[in-house]
Amino acid sequence: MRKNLEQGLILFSWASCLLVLVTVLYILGYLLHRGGGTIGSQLLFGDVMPLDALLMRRQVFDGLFPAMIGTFALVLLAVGIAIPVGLAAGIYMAEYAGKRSKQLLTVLFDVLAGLPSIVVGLAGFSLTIVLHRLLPGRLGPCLLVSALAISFLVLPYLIRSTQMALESVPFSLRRTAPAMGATPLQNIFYVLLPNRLPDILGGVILAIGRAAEDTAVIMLTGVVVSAGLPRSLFEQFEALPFFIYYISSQYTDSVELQMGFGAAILLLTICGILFASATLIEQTISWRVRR
Amino acid sequence: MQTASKIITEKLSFFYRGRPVLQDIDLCLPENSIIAVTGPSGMGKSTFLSVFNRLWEESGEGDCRGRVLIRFTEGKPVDIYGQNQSVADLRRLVGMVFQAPNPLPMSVFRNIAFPLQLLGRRDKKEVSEKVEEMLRKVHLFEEVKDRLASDARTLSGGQQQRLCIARALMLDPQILLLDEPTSSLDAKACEKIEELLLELKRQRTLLMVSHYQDQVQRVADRVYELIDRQLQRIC
Repeated sequence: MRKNLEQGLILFSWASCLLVLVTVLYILGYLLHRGGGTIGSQLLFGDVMPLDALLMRRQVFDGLFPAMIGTFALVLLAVGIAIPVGLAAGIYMAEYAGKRSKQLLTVLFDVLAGLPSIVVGLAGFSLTIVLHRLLPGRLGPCLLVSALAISFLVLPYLIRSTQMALESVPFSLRRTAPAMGATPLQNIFYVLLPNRLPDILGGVILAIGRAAEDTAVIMLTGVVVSAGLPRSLFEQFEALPFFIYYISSQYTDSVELQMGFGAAILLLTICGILFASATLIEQTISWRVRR
Repeated sequence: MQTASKIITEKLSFFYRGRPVLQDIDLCLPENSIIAVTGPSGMGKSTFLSVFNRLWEESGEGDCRGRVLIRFTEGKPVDIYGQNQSVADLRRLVGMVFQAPNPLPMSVFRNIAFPLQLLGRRDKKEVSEKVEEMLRKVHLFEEVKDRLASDARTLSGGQQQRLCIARALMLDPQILLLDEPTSSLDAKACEKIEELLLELKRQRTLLMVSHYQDQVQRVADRVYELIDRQLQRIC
């Protein structure tokens, strides 16, 4: 009976993994099938010569190049803002917070993690109104406000992954450096953090994915359908998730819809590049630490 | 030959979550000797060791009472729980080797050099010379000289433990605390560690916890047994 139950559980686990794998492969295959044919310079640059667009000699208004760059900039900026804050808060939670403050902050961070993105978008929108009143004509919905709002959205992933990574360090390793006279800060930066980089990277990858896909927040804080390349952080911008949302709800013919699928492939490619970069950075740091 | 007291405890008591583990222990331990503490498991032998480098404070669950005095240099002994005593400085003077080898997940070289890194000493030549000196001291240099850049966790158990001893010796501590340093090693590795301990005691005081009576008899100058929260001298 017990053996049957165990075999049943193993079978269920395998079936679940297979289901996830098949779903992912189906989505990728479907995207490639529907949008693969659109991938090319026409999709990215429209009628503008690629070199002119890359050198910013001409703006692209009928291609996805500005949306691609906008997405890259948004994700890098948002995650760049969130990483130091998330790491610091995670370190505080794991290493310094007292029992009471830890309980309270855990609840607050859980609430933050559960906030619908449209609510965070509204908060960002309110911020743009305040900024617009304070600095009339100078600051409104823009790339910076979107990045700030998105960073707020991804912060819980980074805090939680850092906290859990540090808390999972075994006591035998945790006490090694202090036994040699290391200060708590030296222990954190020389031993605990370098040792748990892969776990922290997990949080960074989640944050990248979340930042790249969110539409609700940027819709209220700075993204537009056609803005060209943003020349500063204080300008509106284009982004691939918003383009996908817009085109899938407003398309007038099958060519436009195919562009939406093409945009989805580009978005996945950008995420892949960012995940790979994050992994490479983690492995480089780990290698340097362990040498 | 009578030697000066290196470690003195006065009414030393330790409580873990309110439960007494050590009670009113008065000791005078001589310098340049090996002092062994034996006793059944779970009686607080490791806790007793952690009192001397205040490592118990890392877990944040304990209360140490009484006085622990150590004579670091010629002159008056210092109260290691005194207000002016820095914990980091104390732990540089009182090194520790744990029961299971605990190399840091980094190379052999960086493991040994780690205590110097903590002090901010980065002169490559000085660090390299010191690393080699320590590896030679624990008779490990010949075995690992071609593997200095390898992950320290790839060494054998005995090599790892000798590496940990070398690391603990890097800052030339005056006292070395050893928490069952051979319990996870085979007979041959045990023998090497024991020989090393006898060499080390010429220049420092070694306070060792061990389960093995025969080992204690071989290396210790003085043996105590921890029973009912008290230390009783048995040899």
